[in-house]
Amino acid sequence: MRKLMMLSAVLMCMTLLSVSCEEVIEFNGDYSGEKMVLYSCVNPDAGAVMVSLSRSKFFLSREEGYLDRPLSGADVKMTVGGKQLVLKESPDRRGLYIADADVREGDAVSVEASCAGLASVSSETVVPKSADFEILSTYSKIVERNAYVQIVEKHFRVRLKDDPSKRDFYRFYIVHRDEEGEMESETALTSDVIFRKTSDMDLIEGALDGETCWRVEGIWDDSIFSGEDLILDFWAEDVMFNGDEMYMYGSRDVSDVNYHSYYSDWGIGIDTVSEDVYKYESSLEDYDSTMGGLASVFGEPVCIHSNISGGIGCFGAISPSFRFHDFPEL
Amino acid sequence: MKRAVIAFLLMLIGSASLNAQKKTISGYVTDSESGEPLIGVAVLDKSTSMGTVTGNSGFYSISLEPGQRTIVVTCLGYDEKTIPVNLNADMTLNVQIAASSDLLSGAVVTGSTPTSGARASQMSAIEVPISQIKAIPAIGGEVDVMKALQLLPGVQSGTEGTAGLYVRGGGADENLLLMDGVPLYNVNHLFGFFSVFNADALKGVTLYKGNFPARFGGHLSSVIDVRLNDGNDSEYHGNASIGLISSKFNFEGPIVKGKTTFNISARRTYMDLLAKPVIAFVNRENREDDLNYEEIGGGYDFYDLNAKLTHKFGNGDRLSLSFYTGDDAAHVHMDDISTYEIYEYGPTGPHPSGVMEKNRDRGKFGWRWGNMVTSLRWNHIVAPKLYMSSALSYTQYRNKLSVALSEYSSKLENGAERDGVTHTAEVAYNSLINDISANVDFDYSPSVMHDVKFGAVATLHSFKPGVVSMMQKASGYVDEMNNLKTRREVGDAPLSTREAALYCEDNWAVLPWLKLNLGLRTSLYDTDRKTYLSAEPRLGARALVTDKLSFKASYSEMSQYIHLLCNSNLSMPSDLWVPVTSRIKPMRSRQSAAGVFYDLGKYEFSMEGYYKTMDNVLEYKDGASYLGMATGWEDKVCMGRGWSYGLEFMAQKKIGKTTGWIGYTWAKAMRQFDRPGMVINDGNPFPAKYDRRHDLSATVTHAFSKKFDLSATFVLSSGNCGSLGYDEFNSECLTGLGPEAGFSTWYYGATYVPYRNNYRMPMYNRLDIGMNFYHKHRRGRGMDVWNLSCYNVYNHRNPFLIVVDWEDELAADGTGWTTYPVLKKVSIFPIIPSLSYTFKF
Repeated sequence: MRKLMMLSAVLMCMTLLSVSCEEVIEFNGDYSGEKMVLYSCVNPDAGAVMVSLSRSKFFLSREEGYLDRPLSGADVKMTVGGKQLVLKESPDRRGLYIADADVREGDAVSVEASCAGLASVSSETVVPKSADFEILSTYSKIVERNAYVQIVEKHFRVRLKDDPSKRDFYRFYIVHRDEEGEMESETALTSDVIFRKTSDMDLIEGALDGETCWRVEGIWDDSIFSGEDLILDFWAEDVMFNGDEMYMYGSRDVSDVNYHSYYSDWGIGIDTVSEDVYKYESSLEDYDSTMGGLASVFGEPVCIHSNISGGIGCFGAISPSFRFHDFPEL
Repeated sequence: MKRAVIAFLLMLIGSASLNAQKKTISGYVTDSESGEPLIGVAVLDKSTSMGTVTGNSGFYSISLEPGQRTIVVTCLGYDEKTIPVNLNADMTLNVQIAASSDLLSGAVVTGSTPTSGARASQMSAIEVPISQIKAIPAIGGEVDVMKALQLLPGVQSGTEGTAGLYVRGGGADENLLLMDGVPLYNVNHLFGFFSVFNADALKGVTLYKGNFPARFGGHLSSVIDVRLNDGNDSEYHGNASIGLISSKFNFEGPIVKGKTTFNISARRTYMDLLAKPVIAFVNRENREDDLNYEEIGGGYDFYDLNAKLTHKFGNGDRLSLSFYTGDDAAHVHMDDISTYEIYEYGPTGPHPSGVMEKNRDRGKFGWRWGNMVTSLRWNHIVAPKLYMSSALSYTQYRNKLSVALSEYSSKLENGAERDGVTHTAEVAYNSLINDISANVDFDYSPSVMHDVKFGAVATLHSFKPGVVSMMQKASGYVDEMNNLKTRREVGDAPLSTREAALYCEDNWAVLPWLKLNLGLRTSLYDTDRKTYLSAEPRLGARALVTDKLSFKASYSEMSQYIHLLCNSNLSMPSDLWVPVTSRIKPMRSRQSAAGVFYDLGKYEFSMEGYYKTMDNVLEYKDGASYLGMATGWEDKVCMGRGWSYGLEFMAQKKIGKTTGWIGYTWAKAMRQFDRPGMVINDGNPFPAKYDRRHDLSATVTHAFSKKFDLSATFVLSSGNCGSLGYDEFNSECLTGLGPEAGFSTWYYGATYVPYRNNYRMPMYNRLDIGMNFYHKHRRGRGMDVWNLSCYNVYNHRNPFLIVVDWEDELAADGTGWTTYPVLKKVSIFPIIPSLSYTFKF
């Protein structure tokens, strides 16, 4: 019997090992073909509207280079507050379509694009009203100082007045202005913002905690404070480097070090974003942080939000507003 | 509702007073050979055809007009017994019935179905006898209760091979799994490929998919009532099995004949033992250098132990102590061994010291999980018409997932190691649930028209939902200062919650053709400074058109206060059980069902349709993973709703040499998460992971003789759903200031999934065959049973998961290789032949 059992065990192991467990299969899903990918986000302060067009690629296509598939020669039209605009392709960038426009808060805006070989796409949005907020108080304090660097916490208390009649979506960030008064480009908006922990603001703090990156973090909806004033307490770290020497050996009295800050004005930017932008950015953030849900075999898949009828992408609106504060030298 | 309850109670009291002049016959019905109490035996008064059915302890009570009566005791698979009774006063009548002679001659009986069939008032319930479960072919010959239940209509299996059950569109956590009346949290061995139920220890299994009796509650979608054998009260019996995956034994018998019995069974795998020489061989083959090399190691094993002690005393009193424990342990480690000469630093610079040092760096991953259940039950005949069953029980479910890195270094001197120093760092993820429960159930039979069950249950839950412990240890140093051990725990604080329920139900024979089952369960859950209260009405009706044909309808409401946070891809032992909180509300379901039942004696046909809605079901948000769930799990889940509907057909042959069933289900299961802050799939409905439109299963067993029987199972079903991106595209970031606010030039590739679970895997199909050879010993009463089975006979590669992979191809001009994407299905179970041997005595 022992021999029989052993033989059986060996047979079972051989069977398991010899039979391949992977097999290429035919795709049996319902795929309607390549799609037009449209991105556009109108902005009341822009003076122009832009639409970026590219085309998707079937995931089993043998064609390479899906990162660079801009779509030229498309017909792109946009209607802003009842006025129709025809967008022209930029000579500087393929797939980018531009037209001058005067977009105002509350405008209904729609877009249509068509191109040979692809299904036409369309979408619409409403430009949201900009955020009503004010800086209530500020202070700054030095939290670290040595021969190389001085770290100053810039504390803010901000009150945001929310419209109770509708769901609003906000994006929050730190803004800087340089010595010439020019607002820094988006890459400057990467200062760490640290929120004070409070028991009833976990949702917002969860979204804002840490770096308010120029991309998507710091985007949230008003579901937990709708209709009420929101008080936000937070601080950003101003890391000021020694402007005299990059490297020094040994200890040195730090009282005479000339610390240099890159920014003079510090401020708060709160964008009011359309719901689709909120959904798109949130889903993109989830996708990015989890590699589409594939970062962990235990992760859930991520569906990137799209509001483009007939295609993929996002068409939305952002109404930015800023408040600045000039912190005194410490 | 209040008026209805009062009217119902008045009616019961009235019924009891009207029957005051009647006399009651009560007692137990047992198997004449083993003394095991028999469940679901019909006890009827021959003249009126009115009667009752024995409950879980084999007890019955029937009130009749005084005089000469004839009591008929019938049970499928047993010879009918007729007992004349001169009924002048309340009397006790314990009945022993013998297994049918047909059964002894090799015929197989399945579906002892007091809960199903045209005459039964219960619908949406199926009792599967253990004999049938044992006859069904199984993976590696390992008989499994859960696998057998997956073959029933209305029940979907999870991913291939797993023991998960998805009943009528519900989730894997929505099944109440009872072992001798005590809930179990995790019923999976080997990551769900086998269940913890050892078939040798079981008496019977009943699955309720709807029309839930009021005595059951706490889970939305099904009740799986598994009952353990008490043990033979007159003789010792047992069996021992050797299989390819595990070995097991079962032993039962009397401690005091006719009074005290025991039943013990145990099972253990030896995959770890089989793997050891293979791993050693691989390590030996891979070692090229004796001083610097790598080694791998690992193993997996599980065991379980069931024990039950039953003592009969007094006037029908029974005291039973049940115990179950089982654990799974898996571990993998990788060692990196390096040996080098230590250098000393002197005035002339570094130089070899002549002393060798050996280092062993080990990375180890371990996973252990298990249940422990114990209960003490007292059954007592309070009065001839009133039977009580009370129990105290304790359930524990634990799991630990750990990753450890250790470094061991020692000096080598003449080949011997000395001065060994160890550094270990371990991060472990633990979760634990302890339940202490007390319940009392009464069965009151005021008349043949009413069978009233009422009772109460109270449970204290203690959760340690997810704690990460970090440990650092150093040992072996001569200087004790360096020997250290530090430990820190982070995670949600232990949480205690309280649950209680009261229920009452009446199985009411309104008219000879009309039976109603009316019930109400009220439950209360106290958690996280919040108390939830719910009333769950249960209604069932059976209209008997002819002796063979009936129509049934039911409505059930259920509440569930404990959620299982699990990934949609696999049911893992580390899935986290969490209680409802002030933010996460209890799940609730409402299910309506209707069906027609036709009974031809040997054959039974049924068709049922159902519609079920579920509220406050949970699902992970996009991208969320249960890993790192030590804190803040509430932020990673969405609460929404689900609905499902379907039609189930079943044709069953219950008796004869050939038995089995064919079941077909057409079903649809959907989910929607559209509440503020809890949105999945843009708030649009999407198919549930285990939404399968078609599901056909057939199982048949034919007993050719007393020495040989053959069984086969065939399954054909729609594939599971999954999310698959069909389009790759540039995802741009909508941000910026000024005129470029629309978007930035920053973009990267992403795949576009139009909606969750948009892709359906290829169809699933499989044929399994099993053969049993019986050889009875000429001397003594022993018997050899050889089981030869083959899982997936035609080696169909059923998809376990679908992946996008890359293949290489020689370029057309032959100058190089190109890669291209392909869709692959990964399957885990090819054809698996197996053999097992059982010795019965």
